[in-house]
Amino acid sequence: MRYLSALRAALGMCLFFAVSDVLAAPCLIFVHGKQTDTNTYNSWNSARNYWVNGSNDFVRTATKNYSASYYVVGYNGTKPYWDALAAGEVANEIVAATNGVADGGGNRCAQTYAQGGSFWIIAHSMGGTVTDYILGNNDASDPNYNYNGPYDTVATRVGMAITLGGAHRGSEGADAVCGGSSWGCNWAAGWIQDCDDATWWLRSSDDVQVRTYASAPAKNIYLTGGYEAIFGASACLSGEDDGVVQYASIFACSGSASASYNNSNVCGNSAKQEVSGFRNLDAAHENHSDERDASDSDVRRQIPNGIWTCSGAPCAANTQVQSSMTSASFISILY
Amino acid sequence: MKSKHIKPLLAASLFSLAPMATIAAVTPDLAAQAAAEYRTMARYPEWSQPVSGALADPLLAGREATVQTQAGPAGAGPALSVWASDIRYSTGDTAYFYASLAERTASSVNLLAPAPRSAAGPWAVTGELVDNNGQQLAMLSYRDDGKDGDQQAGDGVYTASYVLPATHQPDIGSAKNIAIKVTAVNADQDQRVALGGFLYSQPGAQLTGEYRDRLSEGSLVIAAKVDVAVAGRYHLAGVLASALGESLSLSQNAVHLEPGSHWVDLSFYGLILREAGVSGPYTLSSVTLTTAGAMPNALGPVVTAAHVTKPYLNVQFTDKPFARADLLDAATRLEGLVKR
Repeated sequence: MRYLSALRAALGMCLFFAVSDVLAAPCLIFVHGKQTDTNTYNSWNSARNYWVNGSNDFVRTATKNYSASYYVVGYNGTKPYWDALAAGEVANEIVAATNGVADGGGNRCAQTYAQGGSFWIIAHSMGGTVTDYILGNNDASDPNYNYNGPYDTVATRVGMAITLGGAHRGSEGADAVCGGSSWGCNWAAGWIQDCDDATWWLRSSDDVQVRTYASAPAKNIYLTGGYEAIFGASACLSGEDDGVVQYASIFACSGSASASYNNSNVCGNSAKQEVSGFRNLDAAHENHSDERDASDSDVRRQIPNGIWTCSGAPCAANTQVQSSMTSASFISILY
Repeated sequence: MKSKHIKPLLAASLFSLAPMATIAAVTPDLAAQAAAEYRTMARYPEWSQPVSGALADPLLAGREATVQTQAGPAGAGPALSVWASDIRYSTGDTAYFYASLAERTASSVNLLAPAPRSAAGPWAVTGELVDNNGQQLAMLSYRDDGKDGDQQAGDGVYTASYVLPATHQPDIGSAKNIAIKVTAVNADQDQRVALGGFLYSQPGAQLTGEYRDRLSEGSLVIAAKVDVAVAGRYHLAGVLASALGESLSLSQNAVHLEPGSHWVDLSFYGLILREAGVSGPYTLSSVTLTTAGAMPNALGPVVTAAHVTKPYLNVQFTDKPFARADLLDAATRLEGLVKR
């Protein structure tokens, strides 16, 4: 009997620590990127599988084997980033997540906003553009305030966003596809093969860029992305890139969206597309797909104003700070 | 030719220019870092933010036209770069479009294929203007002869101009995206294509050029008089600069306006001016009025050096932090997280 009590107590302690782990962690809300069809909007499993590659699972890794709670958003990735089925849908789902509503797979945040929860957006590719639009149009003074959803509530409730290969300044790949000059570009990423509405609005031309239609984000957007080129595709992009999005866009730089940058000279925190709210994290030797499916555990490098510290001071730009770490694992060590 | 980072087996030991060793590096507590920053940012309202004087005017920087560049097949040089004189035009404006061909500094290294042949000029450069429905507006011929807007003959920068016609203009208060597909062809029929674009914008209201300023609740308010043609949502943004031209604050306001003349306030939060330690007179160094409410928004032009205020002492402005509730709440929640 005594042994049973001890076992029960031990189990209780384990449960206590497991629960306290969940409560001490933010709820991660995953927002996928551009799509060539509406599957991720119509089927939650498609949205969930966006983050999976075989046995590799970004969500599982980023949540530390689900010790942090999470919610997977699915929106219509064929629509412009500002569309009701893109930004509007994402905003509504994020608010639902913060209210404790389960996603299509039954996953819900451990704490609601009312219970004191903290919520982090994890967005890939076009998901970053959607995030910029929502968090930059949350205030009544913004140009497109609450354009088609509860942007203000999202901005109030979200603690921060982290973008992976975010198309903050569009993609030169989209320029090539929509201009008919994609010969030899060999787009490995399926979404960029077709100039649909979403791709049109992801060009690097200023008249379609999110910074033209949004203000500084209400909460910080932290930036990471890959520099593993894709043969052919990267020939169509300026400077370092992940095979789909160039550095000037991944790191939300001010100035020309096609400026050429590398890990040593990419724009720092004071030279972003808005006066505040964009912050560098680091760069990974991953391509655009690797960034979101945890399939390539590879080198990570510091970038200007990056997050890594060496001997108590910021590491020098381009310092190799990890020899083998996926972006999913990287996120898991940020909380 | 710069080597891009490719798979380690092929590239790292041969071409990588960066140091290979991993040093002991750690990430700080991101939540704590964000919380600390939010507590600082909470000192100012979302509608009026400080701007580092060392940086370019953010409104003007936002209108800097991106240069679109595309190489030839498999990255062959030269690459064609195209850009416009502005990111938006209205009916009757003359738009200038530029193009140049140059070897690109960034190019993919393909160890399995020979380097593509670079093509030589002279080039004939043309442009096709199309809207997002694919409707053609015009075909343009670029020139490099120093005439019709081309600044210098033979400098390699080709120029075309186009007066925005009323026949294709958007409805008043709206805008549409126009793409310009630029093609360069040489005598060998080598071709380069690049896609640029701009906004054909017909704002529903205009800045009249009349401004007035006042001190209100510890902040500097500059009111701009606007003439409104159609009812709608209007977004006013402006940058305040010191007498020396250093940007101090970016402010914005959005209001619904009915047709007629109206004054719209642009409030620069007093603490920003107080902390800058700079007294007036200040200059409204840039200001723009956008017709919002539908995407794409109808951007207006940016007016520079729009207004000089009365003299104010910086100590006349509030020293009270705004205490943005959403940021302070987020900071508290982030501080409650435990990094493991």
